[in-house]
Amino acid sequence: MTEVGGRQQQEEALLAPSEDEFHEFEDAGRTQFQIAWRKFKRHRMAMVGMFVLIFLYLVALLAPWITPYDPNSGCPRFGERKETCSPLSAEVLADSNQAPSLKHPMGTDNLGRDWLSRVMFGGRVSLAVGLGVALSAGLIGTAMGSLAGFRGGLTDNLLMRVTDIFLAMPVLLVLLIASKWLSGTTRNIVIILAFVTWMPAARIVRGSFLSIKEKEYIEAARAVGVPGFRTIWRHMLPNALGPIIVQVTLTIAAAILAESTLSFLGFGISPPTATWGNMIAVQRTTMVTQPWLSIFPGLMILISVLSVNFMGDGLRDALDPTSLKVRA
Amino acid sequence: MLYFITRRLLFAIPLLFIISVMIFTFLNLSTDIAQSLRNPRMTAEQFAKVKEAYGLDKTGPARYFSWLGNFVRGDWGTSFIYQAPVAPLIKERLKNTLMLMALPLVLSVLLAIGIGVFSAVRPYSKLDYTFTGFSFLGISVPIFWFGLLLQLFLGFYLKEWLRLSEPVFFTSGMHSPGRPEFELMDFLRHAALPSMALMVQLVAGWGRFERSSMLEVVNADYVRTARAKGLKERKVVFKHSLRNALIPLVTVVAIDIGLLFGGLIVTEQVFAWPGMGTLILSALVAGDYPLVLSAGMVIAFAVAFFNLTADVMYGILDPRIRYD
Amino acid sequence: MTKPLLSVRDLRTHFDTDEGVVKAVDGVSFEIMPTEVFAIVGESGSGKTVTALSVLNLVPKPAGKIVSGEIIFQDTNILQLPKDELQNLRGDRIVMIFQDPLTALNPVFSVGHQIAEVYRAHRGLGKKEAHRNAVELLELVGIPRPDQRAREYPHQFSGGMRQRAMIAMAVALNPDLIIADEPTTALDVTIQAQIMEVLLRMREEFDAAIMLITHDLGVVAGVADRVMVMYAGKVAEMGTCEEVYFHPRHPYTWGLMTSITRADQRKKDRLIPIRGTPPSLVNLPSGCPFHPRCDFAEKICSEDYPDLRPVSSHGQIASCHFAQRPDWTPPAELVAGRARR
Repeated sequence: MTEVGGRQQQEEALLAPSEDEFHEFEDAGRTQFQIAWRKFKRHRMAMVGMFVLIFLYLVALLAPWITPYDPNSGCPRFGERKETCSPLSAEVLADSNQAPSLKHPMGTDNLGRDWLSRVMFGGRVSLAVGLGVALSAGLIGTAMGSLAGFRGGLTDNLLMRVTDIFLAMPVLLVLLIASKWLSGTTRNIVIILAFVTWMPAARIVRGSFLSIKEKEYIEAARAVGVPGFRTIWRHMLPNALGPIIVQVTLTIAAAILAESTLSFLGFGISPPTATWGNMIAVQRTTMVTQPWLSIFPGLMILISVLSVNFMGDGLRDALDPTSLKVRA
Repeated sequence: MLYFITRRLLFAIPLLFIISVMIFTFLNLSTDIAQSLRNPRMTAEQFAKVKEAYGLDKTGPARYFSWLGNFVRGDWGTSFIYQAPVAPLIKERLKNTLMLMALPLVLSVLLAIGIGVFSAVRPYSKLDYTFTGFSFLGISVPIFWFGLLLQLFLGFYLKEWLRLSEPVFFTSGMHSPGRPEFELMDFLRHAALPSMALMVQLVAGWGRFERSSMLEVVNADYVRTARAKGLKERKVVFKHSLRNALIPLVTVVAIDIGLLFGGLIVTEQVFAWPGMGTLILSALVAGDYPLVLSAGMVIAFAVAFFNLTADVMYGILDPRIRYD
Repeated sequence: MTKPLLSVRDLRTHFDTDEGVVKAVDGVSFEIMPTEVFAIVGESGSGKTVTALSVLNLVPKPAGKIVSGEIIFQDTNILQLPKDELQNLRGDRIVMIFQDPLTALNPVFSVGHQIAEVYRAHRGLGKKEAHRNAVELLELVGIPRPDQRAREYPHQFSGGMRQRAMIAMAVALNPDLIIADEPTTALDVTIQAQIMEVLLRMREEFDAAIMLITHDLGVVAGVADRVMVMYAGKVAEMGTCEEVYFHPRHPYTWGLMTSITRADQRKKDRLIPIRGTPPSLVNLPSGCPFHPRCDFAEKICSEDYPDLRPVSSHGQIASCHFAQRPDWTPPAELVAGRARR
């Protein structure tokens, strides 16, 4: 064992004298993950949320191969009629405005399009936007935060003022104006949403950077001659990873909601590309006559956002060291 | 304190400036407002004249700074789509938005406190789980969709089931057409559904927040001291615990109120409420930049103002905080 | 013989945690006589604070629970008292002073207000009169300019002043028993003696008994009448201050004594720390809970729990298999240190 390691453990033992925690430190990586997973598993709703989410993402991923009908034309995708069918043909229109049934579990719209197929394809976009925004916001935030935390001084001051400004903006208004300018492709919406959601991650990473910088073992590592940024980064990551994961997860929920809201207001992704938000917007007029057309896509938003939130809650408990230990 | 407030207000000026530049640039990039003034029968010459009259012949920066100069002097310009001065328009709509916000805000704060206190005093009880479940639903539901459901069930179906000629709750607008100026019952029947849509997210978010800040407090040492002193449980909870747990809630509420000025866009749009949200939305669609800019400034100012209010309240409620 | 003021019988207080049931206090019995200073000594996690909280039935719920036992205070079992009678007892007859006066005082109310609250809750005094009493108390515990200080908030007080205020709050209604949970631990060394002095002066003034909880045997010396040493939620040794100091019979007590730093410490007698860490209260070692850390452990120590047994004719008891052996004496270092005293 090296000098540094020995002292580190001594300090750690003073802080957390119990036998368990002492060992916990021994091989931090694996055990910490196992402890987190054990805590997470106890959250029943978080587990349910995780499985629902995996299911939804799988369905979205596989939509082109498993949907029975084409989402835009309403034609069957399999069987012999696949070749002969065309959009708006009498054959498709004969099935228009159907209430939910075995053949069309979510009904059909006035163009005879199978709503289940369309909801599945809409989910592709909505869920992809959610994940894309969360990951890019996490990346931007981590980059900004580590730059500010590592450089300190003027850079830090400047970047944190920028963060403050972004946090003080009327978000929805900025989103609307920005998406009016960059009209609604999926990629643009992801960029715009990431642009207003990166700040919390930046603050988390900056905070961890600063606290690591203070710590003694960084001094020790520096004395050995390892370049600064890499050292801090390597030490920072395990500490900040938990909060970042929680933040990224919760951003998925916020992004799905924001995308659907923008699309509903007509500023997001525009038809014929289906997203849950614009499907509801288009079917607003049929709310009374064919309520299922707006209820199902909305229900899907609710279910996916709810799952993400449950999962995020479980992750917070599992990964955040400050969360309560004693519970009944 | 005064120094602190002044400094914060000074910080808001560059913020407002940056936001206004952003709004103007994005709007200019996305819409050519002059086109909306064009009339097929106009000759090119006439069109040029119209553009000149509206100042649209100048370059972008020139137009921005002329707007800014006038705005600072109190002249908020003329709306293209309403063909009317911007300031009175915003004043009227702002009043309507405030009318929609006031009651739900008060009710939401009270409900959130009630839920937070109860859940923290009896954590992991059946009712606590129920509240937690509802607040997860509340923060996860898309507001526009929830609004549509309210319109369908409480607006339309309720009327059908009760076989009424007129719905109990109206689904759009803030007055029935042809009614006299303001009639309380009529107003409340219009405001009920959008208020519910608004309250769902507020109560859910604040209730959860208050629960966790109460939970942090109920195990605090000073609460134990209060119990050891022999105070009644009511005093321990509502005086010693709640007083401390309210401090963070007050700041969150203040910040959220600021955000609501911009965030009400969705609710107002669903329920066709003639407030700031619908105003700014229609102005945005048309690229009516004097209107969007001024309304945007009002909203951004509201956000900054309530952020400041949050900090000041914190200082007043927590004797440990001193601003100097 | 006088009747004990407080008698605790077979107290068991357990906590439900993620890791399992923590037996923080497990079968503890003791008595406190009127006006006596009774010290409970042990490492952190030995169950001394939970014992104190149990006396006032203040164990944090729902995780913590008093599983069994009796706590008799002046002929009434505190654990069976209805809620309002318990509230009348707390802060009036039995009071408590906590370790960290900064967190124990509510940050958003003035110090005077928090002291006055005791009068208002128990005696129904009006605001003005209660406040006047509070100011008088502050003066009594040695706070200068009490009139002005009463209006200030806890964060404006120094650590020592805060603890004085806590003591003032405690003695407001002339209590019978003052529970002081590590009252000096969070304070500067220079202040510690002052606070102990104030505490003892108040005891004189009001004829109260003190239950003094500490991890520091040094604090206890010369102050306590009797001492109870706790280890892993159980009583390790109990006796008069002299007995425990000069004739300790439990190896854990020896360890506690040799690890005290003293002013007269000589270079050559080193501090002997007790090796290892306190055991996990979820999974206690078999037999004597101290045996894994005991230098004198034998086979029987890991097999049987040593019941408390009398080790002197005056009532000293110890929980060690060998405590009754006449040759069972502390190691040389301790003897040497004691001789110099």
